[in-house]
Amino acid sequence: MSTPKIIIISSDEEKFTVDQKVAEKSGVLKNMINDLNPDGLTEDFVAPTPNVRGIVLSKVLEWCEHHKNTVFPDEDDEDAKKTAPIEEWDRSFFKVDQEMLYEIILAANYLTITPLRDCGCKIVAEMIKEKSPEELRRIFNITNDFSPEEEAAIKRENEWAEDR
Amino acid sequence: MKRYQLIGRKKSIDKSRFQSIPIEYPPYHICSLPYEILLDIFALQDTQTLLKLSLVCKRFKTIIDKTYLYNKLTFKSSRIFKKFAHEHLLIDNHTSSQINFIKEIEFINPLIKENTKFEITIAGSYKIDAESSLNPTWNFDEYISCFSNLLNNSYGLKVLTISQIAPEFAFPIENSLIPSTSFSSIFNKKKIIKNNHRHIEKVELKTQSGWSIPFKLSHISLILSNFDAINELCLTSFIIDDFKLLSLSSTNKYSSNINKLTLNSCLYANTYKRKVPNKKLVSSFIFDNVQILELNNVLSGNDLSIIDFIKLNNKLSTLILDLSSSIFYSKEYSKHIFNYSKYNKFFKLLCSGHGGYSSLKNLVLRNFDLVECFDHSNAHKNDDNDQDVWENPTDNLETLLKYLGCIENVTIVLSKECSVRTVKTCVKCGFTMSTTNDLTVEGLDRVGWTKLLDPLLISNDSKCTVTILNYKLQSLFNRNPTTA
Repeated sequence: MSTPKIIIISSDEEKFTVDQKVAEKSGVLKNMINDLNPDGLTEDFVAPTPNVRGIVLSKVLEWCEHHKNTVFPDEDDEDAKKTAPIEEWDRSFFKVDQEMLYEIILAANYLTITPLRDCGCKIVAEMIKEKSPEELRRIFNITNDFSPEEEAAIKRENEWAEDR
Repeated sequence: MKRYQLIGRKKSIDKSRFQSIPIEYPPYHICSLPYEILLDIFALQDTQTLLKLSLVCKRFKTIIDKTYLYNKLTFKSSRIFKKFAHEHLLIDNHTSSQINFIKEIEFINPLIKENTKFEITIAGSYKIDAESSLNPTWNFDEYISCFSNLLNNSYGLKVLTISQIAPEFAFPIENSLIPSTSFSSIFNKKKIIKNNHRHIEKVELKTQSGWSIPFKLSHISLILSNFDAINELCLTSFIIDDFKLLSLSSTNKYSSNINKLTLNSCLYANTYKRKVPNKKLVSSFIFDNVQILELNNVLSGNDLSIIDFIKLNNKLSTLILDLSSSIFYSKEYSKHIFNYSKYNKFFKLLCSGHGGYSSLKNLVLRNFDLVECFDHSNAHKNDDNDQDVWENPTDNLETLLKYLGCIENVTIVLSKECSVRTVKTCVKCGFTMSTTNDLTVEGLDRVGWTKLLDPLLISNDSKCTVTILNYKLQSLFNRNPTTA
């Protein structure tokens, strides 16, 4: 008998068949598989992910496949997580439009694939760095909901923090 | 205060403007991301970027104000505090809404009163840079008034740190009769309304590097007037001078409710005995309610006498000792060995429950390398020769553990090095497994621990509750006679 596979079904009914090791990059799927099969898998396991579209799921699984043997730093070690640079492969993996980027982060969040979620957050954080408020609004298409007076007031009230 | 009210008025913001309809964004947009993901993204930014982000839109501003900018305030200088005070504390009759987000405040190098009597010079030539001279407009009374106002209004405040305290630094003392403090009291101008039952989690005071400053009431007077209780007072590099602290007691109007006192690298000056030889030392009102005393980096054997000074309050129930302090060790063959001959007696008295130590119920030994001290080769020495031993030596770990067993609760927090140490086997009692797979301390099982701690466990009819924790404070072993 061949090794049992994990079949993940996206919100738009697309089916993805992957190795158990790849699926278990997701904390949620890992728990689901192990809770329902405490003695190990004997047949294929079907897991629906009603919050994730097929096109996003295929990206997420591409990442899981690539990183199936990667050992990530300790989850509790906040500093190590923050300072670790983004790998070149991950950087090109995230060369997608903003909508897709957020969808991947949300899927990683939902499926508890913490390293993927962290990496996505880092990509967004890099887009934010060293930009003026106007540039930020333009890049992220955000409407300015402050009046000019409010903006001036915020600048004043935060002035003390400038030389921190 | 009238002057400030006028300054504040033109800066106050029309609140109604803030209430506009929230903007709807598509589902996959940065503004639609869940709160916790935005937090993770913002956590990767420096202050400058956060300041720019908070100008982008209201949602960002709220998150950044609450979680980053106003969560923990650090005032690197009193000049920065002045800027802050003018925007947040001196608005007419109210403080800014951001004050509610404050959980921690750190004041670095707090302002000292102009023309302080004591002029400090180093080697008679350099005058210590007193910041007040650079800041002629920020006078000490205003500074203290704003300081107090901030404490009084930040209801979420948990931790207050004052670091790089200069020797001349002092808060005013209300209606003080002490002649040495001639500071005009700010309290005469503005009465602080003491909020009932306000307590602060932690107050931490650190002196300027290189200085050991005698701890005075004026170091905490303003904090005592704003809070009824301080859960933990943590002092770093201070001198605890019993005479100085006791000379205050009868002349002030403060009450102090400090639950835990932590002393880091503090010295004890028992000058009372010398200055008032015919009177018995009593407890200082400042430490009257201290139940937990923690001593870290103890500098000399004499400093352990702080325990005797604090326990005079008859409430001290828990003692936490940092056993990584070098005074506990003697150097033999370039190896640090626990000085049993000196400190076994000390721990015997401490745990005896006799005299002044009857209130002491809990002893916590931090950073103890229990296994390094443990010498199993001694354990079976007496098994082999049936000769009567004239007198068992008392300067060893077994005796120390025996003495420790006389107190109600003993907690040993192993040092980091200790956790990775391996334990050897003993053929006689099967103390651990085989020599080929030596166990690390973390992997030691109950039987192993029972062997290791045997003198402690059987001491005093096994009445002692014993807890062993690793340096991450995870439990490794636990024996509770009441539940057993």
